[in-house]
Amino acid sequence: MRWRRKPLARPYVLRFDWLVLLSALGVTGMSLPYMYSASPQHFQKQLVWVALGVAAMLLMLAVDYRTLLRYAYDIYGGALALLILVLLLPQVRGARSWIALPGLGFNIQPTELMKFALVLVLAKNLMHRETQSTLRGLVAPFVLTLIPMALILKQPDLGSAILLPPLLFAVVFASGANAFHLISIALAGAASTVPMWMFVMKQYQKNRILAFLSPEKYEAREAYQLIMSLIAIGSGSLLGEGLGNGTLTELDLLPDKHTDFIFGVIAEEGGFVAVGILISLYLLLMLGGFRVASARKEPGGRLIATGCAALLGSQALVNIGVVTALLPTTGITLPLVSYGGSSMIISFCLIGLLLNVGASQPLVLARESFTGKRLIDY
Amino acid sequence: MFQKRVLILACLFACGFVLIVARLVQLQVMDSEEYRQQGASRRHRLIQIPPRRGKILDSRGRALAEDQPSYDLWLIPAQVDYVDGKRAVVSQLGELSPDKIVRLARSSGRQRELDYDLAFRELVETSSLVRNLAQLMKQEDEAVARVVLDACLDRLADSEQDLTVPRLLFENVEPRVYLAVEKERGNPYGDPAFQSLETHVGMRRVYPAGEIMGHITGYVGRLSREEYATLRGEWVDGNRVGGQGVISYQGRTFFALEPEGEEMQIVRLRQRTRRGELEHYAGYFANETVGRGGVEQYYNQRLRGRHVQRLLRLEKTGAGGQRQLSCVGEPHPARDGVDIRLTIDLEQQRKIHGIMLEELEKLRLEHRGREGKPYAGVCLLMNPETGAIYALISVPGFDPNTLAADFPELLKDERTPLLNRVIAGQYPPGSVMKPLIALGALSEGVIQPDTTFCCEGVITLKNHDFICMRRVHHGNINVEDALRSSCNVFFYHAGQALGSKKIFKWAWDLSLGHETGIDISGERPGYLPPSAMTGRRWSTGQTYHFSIGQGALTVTPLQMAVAFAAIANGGRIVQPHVLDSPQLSQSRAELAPPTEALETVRLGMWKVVQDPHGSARKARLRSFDIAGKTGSAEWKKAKATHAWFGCYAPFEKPEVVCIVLVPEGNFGGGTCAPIAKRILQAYFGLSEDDAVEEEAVG
Repeated sequence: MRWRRKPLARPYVLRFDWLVLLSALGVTGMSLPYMYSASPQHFQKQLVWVALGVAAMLLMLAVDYRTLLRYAYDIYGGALALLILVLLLPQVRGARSWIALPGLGFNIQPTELMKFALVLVLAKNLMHRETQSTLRGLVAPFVLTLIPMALILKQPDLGSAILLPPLLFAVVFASGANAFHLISIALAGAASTVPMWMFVMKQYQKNRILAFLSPEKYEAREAYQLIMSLIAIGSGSLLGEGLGNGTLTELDLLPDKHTDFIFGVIAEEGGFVAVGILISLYLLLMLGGFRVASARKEPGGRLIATGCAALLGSQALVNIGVVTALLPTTGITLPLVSYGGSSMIISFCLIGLLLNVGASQPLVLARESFTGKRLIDY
Repeated sequence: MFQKRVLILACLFACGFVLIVARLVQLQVMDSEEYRQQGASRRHRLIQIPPRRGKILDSRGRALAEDQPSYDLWLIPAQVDYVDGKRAVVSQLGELSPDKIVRLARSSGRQRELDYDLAFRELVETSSLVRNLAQLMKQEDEAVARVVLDACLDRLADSEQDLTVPRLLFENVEPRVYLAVEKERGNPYGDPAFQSLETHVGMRRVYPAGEIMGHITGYVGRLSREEYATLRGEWVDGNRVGGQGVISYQGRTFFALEPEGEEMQIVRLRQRTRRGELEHYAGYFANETVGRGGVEQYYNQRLRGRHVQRLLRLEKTGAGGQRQLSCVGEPHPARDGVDIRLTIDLEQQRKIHGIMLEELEKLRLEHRGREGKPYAGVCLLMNPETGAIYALISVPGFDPNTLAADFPELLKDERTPLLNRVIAGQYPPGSVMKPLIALGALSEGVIQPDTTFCCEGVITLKNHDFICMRRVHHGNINVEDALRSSCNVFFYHAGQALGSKKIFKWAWDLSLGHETGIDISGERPGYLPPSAMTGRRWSTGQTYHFSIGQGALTVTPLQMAVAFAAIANGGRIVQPHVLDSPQLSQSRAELAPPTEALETVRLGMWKVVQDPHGSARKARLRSFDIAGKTGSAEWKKAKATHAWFGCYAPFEKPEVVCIVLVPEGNFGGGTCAPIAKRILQAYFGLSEDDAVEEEAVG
C-alpha cells in the first residue's frame, strides 16, 4: 500500500493527517445538535468537555509521541494503580468505575485512562521485538492486557473490558504475530464462555444475553432499552423525524439517550442520512488512522497508530452494534459523541496521538517487517 | 509486510461497518413503518375506568349491595415533590437503571433495604407532600411516606415503568381530606406539593344488610393475575372489542387482538405481549373488581357492566417540559352494570336469621356438655313449585363490609363462618333420606303401601348388628309408620329389596350427588358412592347403611330441599334460585312417580309431625298441617349426631319447603323441629300461641 507522499515544504505543525482531524471534528460537530435535542441540560457541559478534549488533543500534538513511549510503562503503572484504587472506593451508580473528585463536580474514570495507556504500552512492548511470531512471544502483550481487563471486569464494566481484546489482537497482528496463533487463541477464548456462563457470570448478565437473543420475552426489563432503541432507530426512517422532533427522544422513552444510546437519538431525528454520514466519518477516521500507521516507518509510531485506530473503530462498532441489537447490551460510550468527560477527553487524546504520529517524520531506518524471516529481503 | 497487515486490519474493521450499515438499512428503510407504528403505540396508553356495578336488590327492592362513592387520592409519581427544586423520591430513583428499580421494588434482598431506606428517609425529611398529607390525614409522617414510596415503586415495577401514570394512593379518605386536597390543587398560590396528587371519586361496594345476607350476596375483591387467566373464558359478546381484531380510534390502530389458542389476546402491534398489555383488553383485566362467592360472583358478568376505555397520549407540555398524559378519546363508551333482584325478602330473612341465632344460643345454654361451644346452623326456605328461595341462612356468617379486617378472625373460628353450609356444607343425611328410599321402593313396586316388615330392633348380618334406633322393637310395621317412627329395620329391608343401584338412581334423580345449579357461587356436589351403582366392592351391609342415609354418602341441605320439594310438588325437580326470574322457575326434570307411592310417602311424612307418635311432634302448628322428616345422622364415633329436619307446609297445598340442620345438634326431632316451627310461624306470619304445646310421648 502506497500513499501519496506529503510535500516536505509544508510547515511542521500543519503536516499532520487532515483526514483524521477533520473526520474526528466532523463526528463531534455533527453530534452536538443531537446532544442538545437529547438533553439540553447536559449540552453546556458537553461543550466544555469537547473544548477540553480538543485542548487535550493539541497537548498531545505538542509532546513528541516518542517521549510518551519512553514513559509508557510509567503511564501504564499509574493507570493500573488507579484501577486498583477505584476498586477500593465505594460504589457510584452500582459499580466501582468512577473516582469522585470532591469539589470539582465530576468523576474520573480510570478505565478510559487505561485504554490510552494500553495503546502506548503495547506499542512499547512490541516495537523492538521479533518474537511475536511464536506463541511464547505473545505472552507478554497478553499479560499486559489481561491484568487491566480483569480489574475492569471486577468493577464491573463489561463494556469497557470487551474493547481491550480487539486492541490487543490488532496491535499484535500488525506487529507480525502468526495469524493462526491469534485465531486459535480467539477460538479458545470463545470456548471459555461456556464455563464462564456456568460458573462466573451473574444472573443479570445472563439475562442481558438472553434478552438479546429473545428481546420480546424480556421486554419489560432487560430488553426494554434495546426495544426502545430499535423503535427509535426504525422510526427514524430515511430522513428522520427532524431535529428536536423525535417521539421517543422527546418523551424520554429512550433510556440513556445522551450517553450510551445517543446513536438512537441521531437515528431517530436524523434518519438514515445522518447516521450514514456519521458512520462514514467513523470509517474515514479509522481508515485515516490505519493510513497513518501504514505510512510510518518507525515501529513505535506504527503500532501506536494501529492501536488508536483499532480502539476507536472497535468502540464505535460495539456501541452501534449494541444499539442496533447486533450485539448484547453492554454499557459503552460512542467515542467522540456520547456525553461524558473522561470518554470525550481520552478519545481526543487518541486522535491527538494519531495526529502526532502522522506529523513527525523522524529519520529512523526501520525494518520493513517485524518478522525475522524477512530480514534478508531488507 | 506491515502495510499488508494493516490493510487486512482495515478491511476487517470496514467489514464491521458494512454490516452495521446493512443492519441500518434493514431497520430504517425496510422495517421502518412497523417501528413507526410501534413508536406510536408506545406513546399511547389505554386505561379502563370501571362503570357503576349493578345493585343487588331484595324482592321488595331494598338494596343488598350497592356502589357508594369513595373519595380516593391518586399520586402522580413523576411529580412527587418539586419543592426546593429538588425531587425527593424520583431523584433518588432516577439515579438507578430501570432493571435495578424493578429489582428494588420486587425483591426483598439487601439491595432493597439499602436503597429503600435511603429514599424513605429522604421522603420523611424533605418531602412537603408527605408532611402536609400526614398533617391533613392525622397520620404519622412515616406511615404516609411508606405509602407514597410504595406507590412510586409499584408504578416503576409495572410494565410501563412510567412515572407519569397516576396510581391510587389512599382509598376512601375522609371527605374533609378530599376537599382540602382538591382546594389546594386549585389554588395557584397553594403548596405546589399537592400538584402531585389527583382527586377522583371512585366506587366502594357497600352491603347494607351485612352479615344477614353475607352468604347470599358474597363480596367483591380484586381479580388476581392467576384468576385472570381462567376468567378469560367468560368473555361474552358485549365485551368483545367490536369483534374487529383491533382497537382503533379515528382511523389509527393502536392495539391489536391476536388469536391465542381459542382466546383473543390483545397485543401491541406486531409485538408479543408483555404482562401489562392484557389489562388493556376490554374484557376482564387484572386487578378489576370482581364478585367473590354468592350472587356477586355468579352474576358478575351482569353486574359489572362495561368499562370505559380511554385512550391517553403521552405529551411534553409547558416550558418545564414535563411529560403528561392527555386524553385523546374514548373508543368504547361505558355501560353501567345491571341491577338484579332476588327472590329473598330482606325483612323475612332478617327475622329468620334472628330466630336461628336465638335458638342456637338457647341450644348452647342447654347443652353444657359441649363446654359452651356455640353451634352452627343452617336454614333454607324454598318454594317447592318454583324453586325460588325465600330464606337462606348459614350461621355463623360474615359481614362483607368488614371482611378484609375480620378475615384472620374468621379463619380462626372453628365453625368456618366463610362456608355457606346451605350449598357447600356436605353432611350425611341420616333419616331424612328415608322418604326418598320409600318413594323409590314404592314407585319401583318392590314394596306396597301395606307391605310390612317385622322390626325386632336389630338385623344381624355376618356377625354385625344393624340396629334400629335404641334397639326399639317396632314389630310388624308398614312404610307409613316406619317413616313416622323412623324405623331403621324396615328401611334395611326396603333398601335391600330395592337394591343399591336403584337407590343410587333415585337419589341421583332426586338431585343428590351433583350440583343443583343454584345461582350462588360455591356450591358443592355432595357425594353418592359410585360403587353403589357399579356394584363392585359393595356389600349388603353398605346397602343397609345407604338405605338409612348413612355410610359414605353426603348431601347438602339444598339438595335435600330439592328432593323434598319433589315429594311436595308431585315429582318435579325444581331449579333452586335466588334471582327473581321466571325462566329459572321452570322445573328441570319430571320424575312422575305413581300417585299412590307419592301419597303414601306424604302420609308417612304427615305422620312424622302430626301423629302423636311422630318423631317431629314439636313442629306442630294449629293453623295447618306439616309433613316432614327428622334425621340424626351419625358422622363420627363419640360425637353428637347432626340434627336434621326437613318439611313442607301446608300439607294440603305446599307453599314452602323448609330444611333446618344443626351440625352436632343431636336429635332432629328435639333440636330442629322446634326451630322449624318458629321459622314457619315467622314465614306465615302466625302468632306465637299458634304452636301446639304437648308433652313428649315416650
